[in-house]
Formats: sequence, C-alpha cells, structure tokens
Amino acid sequence: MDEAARDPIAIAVDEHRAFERLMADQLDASFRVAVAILGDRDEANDATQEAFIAAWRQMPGLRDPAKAVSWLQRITINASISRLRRRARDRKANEIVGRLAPDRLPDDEAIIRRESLRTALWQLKPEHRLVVFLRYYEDLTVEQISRRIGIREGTVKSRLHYGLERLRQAYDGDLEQTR
Amino acid sequence: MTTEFEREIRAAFAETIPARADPALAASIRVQMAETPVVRHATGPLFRRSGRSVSFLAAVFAAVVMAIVAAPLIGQLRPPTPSANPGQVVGASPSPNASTRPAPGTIPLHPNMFGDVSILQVRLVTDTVGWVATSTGLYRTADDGKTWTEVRVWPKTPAAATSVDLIDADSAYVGAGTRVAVTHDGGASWSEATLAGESTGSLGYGPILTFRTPLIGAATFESTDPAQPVRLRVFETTDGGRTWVDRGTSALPDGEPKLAPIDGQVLSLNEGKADNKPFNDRLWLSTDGGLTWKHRTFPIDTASPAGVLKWVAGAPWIGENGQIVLPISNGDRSSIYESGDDGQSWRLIDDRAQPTQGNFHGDFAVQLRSATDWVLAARDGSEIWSTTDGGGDWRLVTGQAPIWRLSPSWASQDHAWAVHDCARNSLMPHGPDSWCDGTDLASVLFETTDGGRTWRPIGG
Repeated sequence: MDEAARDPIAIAVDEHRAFERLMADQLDASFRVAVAILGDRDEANDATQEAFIAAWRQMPGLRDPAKAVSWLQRITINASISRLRRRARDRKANEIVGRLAPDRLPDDEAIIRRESLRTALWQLKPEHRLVVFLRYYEDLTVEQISRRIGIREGTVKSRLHYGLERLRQAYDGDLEQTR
Repeated sequence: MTTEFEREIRAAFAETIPARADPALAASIRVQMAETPVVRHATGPLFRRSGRSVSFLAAVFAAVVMAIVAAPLIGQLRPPTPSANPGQVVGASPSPNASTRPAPGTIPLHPNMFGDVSILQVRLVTDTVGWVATSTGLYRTADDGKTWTEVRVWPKTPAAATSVDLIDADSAYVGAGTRVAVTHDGGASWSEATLAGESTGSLGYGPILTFRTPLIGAATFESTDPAQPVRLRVFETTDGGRTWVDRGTSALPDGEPKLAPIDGQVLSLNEGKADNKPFNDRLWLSTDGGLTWKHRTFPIDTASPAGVLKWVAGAPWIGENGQIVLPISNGDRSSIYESGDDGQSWRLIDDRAQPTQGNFHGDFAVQLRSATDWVLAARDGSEIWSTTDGGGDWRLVTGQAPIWRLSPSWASQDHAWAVHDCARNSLMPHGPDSWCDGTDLASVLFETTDGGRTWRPIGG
C-alpha cells in the first residue's frame, strides 16, 4: 500500500491546506464567473459557496491536481446554471435588468452605448454571456475557454459569435434609436 | 487589437461584476467545510479510523481561520488585549459584567428538536444529564432529554465555537479563537478569558482543549506553516479557566509531524511513525497540552506487530500511579492494552477482529469510561461489547442501529446517545434511510437504554 495513502491525518491536513490554496487562488475568479452567469451578486455568493463545498466534498476524487482550476470552474458553472434553472425565466430577466440597470437616464452618447450594451449583456443566454465574459473580461483564448469549461472550441466560437452579434445589435441599435 | 466595442464589453462587465468576492464568502465556506466531510469513495483510510481527530482538526482549523476572517466582520470578538509573555497570567477572572450571563429558559422537548442543525458533539454524562453541542449552540438536559436548556449560543458563525470539551455534568469549555469560555454550574453562568492578544493566525490551529480534571487543563494552538516544524503554543489553567498562564511554545518530539488530538485528557502522536519513514513504533502522549511529551513504545505483540501500521483508536484512560489503558487499531483488529508502569510495558487485555460492514471497514467506537468500564460499539451497531471489570467478563449485545457510523456516548453499559448525521449519510452509498430520506433534517439524536439492542430518536 502506498505509504501516503495510509496516513489519514496527513492526508486530511494536506487536503485542507491544498484546498485553502485553491480557494485563495480561485475564489474571486469563481465568484466572477457565477455573477457573469447569474447576474445577481447574492445568488452568485450562494452558488460559489455551494460550488466550493461540493468541491471540498469531492476533493479526494480529483486525480490530477493540475486540473483543479478547470474542475472547480466547472463545478461553479454547474452550480450557477442549476440555480438559474430554478429561477423562472421571465422573472429572472426582469430581476437582472431591474437590479443591474442604472437608476438614471443616460445623458450622453458614451453612457447610452454603455448602458445599452450592459442591458443586452444581461439579456444574453447565460452560456453565451459566460464565454463572452471569459474572452473579453478574463482575457482567455478560445482554447483556454474550451479547456476551462469543458466544451469544444467550435462551441466556444459559435457561442462567442452569437453573443457578440446580439451585443453588437443592441449596442448599435439602441444608439440609432436615440439619435 | 482591441476594438472600442470589445473595450466597452469589458467595461460593462467591470461595472457590474465585482473583481473580488465578498470577504465574508471565504469565511462562510470555511464554516461549512468544518461541518462537511470529504467524500472518500470505497473505503479510504480516513474512514477506517475513528475519524474524530480528523474532523476535529478540520473544525479547529476552520474555527481559527473563521475567527480571523469573520471576527472583524461580525463584530463578535472583543478588542485584543496586549500580548502576553510566557509565564504571564493572560486570562482574567470574570467580572460581573464580563460575559457571565444567565441561562435562557427551559425548552420542552419537541419532535426533531435538533433536526435543523448539525450536531457536533454529544455527551451523556449520567442517566439524566447530558450535553448536545450543535452548530448553533450548546444545550443541556437534566432529565434525559425531556427538557433542554440552551445554555450558550454561538456567534452567528457557528464554527467559531466548535472547539468544545464537555467535561462532566457541570463543567464545559468552549474555545473560539483566542477566547475560552467555561461553565462549572451546568451552563447557568459562564466566564470567559482571552488567552492572548495575538490573532489566532499567529497562534495556529486551536484552541485544542484537553482537561485532566474539570479545573486543570490546557488550550493548545498548533502552528500551521507547512514549511516549518510544528510548534505548539500552550496555555494552562489550574483554576477551572478563571486564569490562564501562557506556557510558551514547545516542539513535537523528534520532529514527529502528526499531532492527533483525541477527545479527552491527552494529546497523542499517532501511528508510531514519521512521514515517509518506516514505522518506529514510538508512542507519544502528552497530558499537559503538548508542553511536554513522554516517550512510550506502542504495544508490540502478535496482535500488534512491530513495524506495521497501528494507531491510537480512542481516548486513552490515564490513571494514577502509571496506569494507562490504551485502545489501538490496525485497520483490521481492535485491541485494548493496559500498562501499570506508565507505558513502559503493556499487557494485552482484549483483541478482536473488526466487523466487516457493507460500505466501509468496521472499526469499533471505543469509550473507556473508567479504568475498568469500557464499551466497544461496532459502527453499524451490530455488536456492542462492554465490560465493567476491566475485561474479565464481556457482555455482547447484538442490534441494528439506524445510525450512520455509530459513535455513541455511553453513560452506562445500557444507556447511550448517538447522532445520526443525515448530511453525511447522504454522501455515502447506502440503502434507504427512513430517518432522513425526503426530509430536511440535518441530524437525528438517538438513544438506547438496553445496551444498544434498540435505538429510538430523542424527540420522536
């Protein structure tokens, strides 16, 4: 028997320390992903917490520590999407726009563009918003996104394309309407 | 090249997505970690031992970190007092306006009284008096669970108070960060002392509470820097927690890395080996919170061969004049040894194969109630062995406990409490669970009064 495997106290302590490191490195990123999907900070808090606890429970099943980050992100994404599914779709859209839209009316062109884009961003399908977020906010490449969330590169590209197209329409269209 | 459109996308995200998570989130996760076991499929070694040390360590770790991170947020902890030097009395006697407070009123037993919270620890002291420490507070009964008194409520962050030592019918200690609260009147009043002005971060894991008597004991913190040898910071009280003396730091003997706090009056260094070295069969026990360590040798004979894995499998019983009763396990067999010369030589009292159970190896939950009064309970409740004459005669009760990983607290050979943890049970492969399936229960408290033949839930 592998000696390390026969040393439960050390395993437990090592796991705890490793998990603390993982949390220190990835908590913020996971939280951002959850917000990007859910559009709600409170719910993102809950989803991130749920994801980390699920990861903690399942940590011994993680065979390859090098994959811990993508493993954790997938758990976070799954937890966030599960929460999203529990929400009524119409209600969700209203809540998101209601919570994240500005209180005041835009008063110049730059603000109009930004607010239009923001509104459109939160009206995207969550899976589209996620890849846009990872590409343009987290600066990941298509290949990195593919590995990170476990979908094919072609799927990443198509989601990016669809998401950007909708954002561009909203961005330009709203601007046209205000002119 | 980044376009203006892409910059706008980034800006839109940046305006609505915080760069950093709420600081309380990490603290909240740690609280749950302390109460959440990791899942080990099949029968990993963690589940072949008592598991108590591991969960305790995790709870203490979470408590310490929790206290560091969450204390400023929740405003529960007092401002730090000036740092103390070794030898200095760092605690303070309770003042009337310190933290002594009357206990809340009596709570009649009601169905699933503890079902909504995780039960962290139970202690049935006598046939009538018992304690239940949950994730929200500490409860005491004086009528075998018919009525309860909520004697202490934790701060909003439950793991900040998970270090609990339930001594006897009257005395209990609760550690939270650098503070230790104590009652000697069954929770009617409490006094608190702050052990050090330093943050728990500088002190490490802890406090690990070990008490030889209701009045004499230690609160120990273990350093957590994996790059440095383990150091212990020990605070000692001899007046029941009214004052504490900082005994300074100590090292583990010979760089042995595995401190294994065991419920009760001793700390042990487990398994007779150091990491990545052959088993050296050395046994170290400390009765002063790790300040000093006395070298003993693990019992060695055919039931416990030299050079193989074995560990302390329950709280040893340490008496006067060098008497020690020591339960050990090697994963397949559980043995009890006795020494009359402070661990220099050992006599095998009992040795039995651990029952094989469906989903995990079946060790015994060993409770040494005195020098001669012992109970060994198979984790599935199928066998309860007990003796009241130091192993001269053994009584076997066969039963079937509806409890996952039975770990009872025995007040007598016949009377015990045990916790069925619904959350943990849900993580393991198992059959239908009539107590938990389809409910939101976190835990169910069970009682036996026939030596473990039958179990019934307290509260219906």
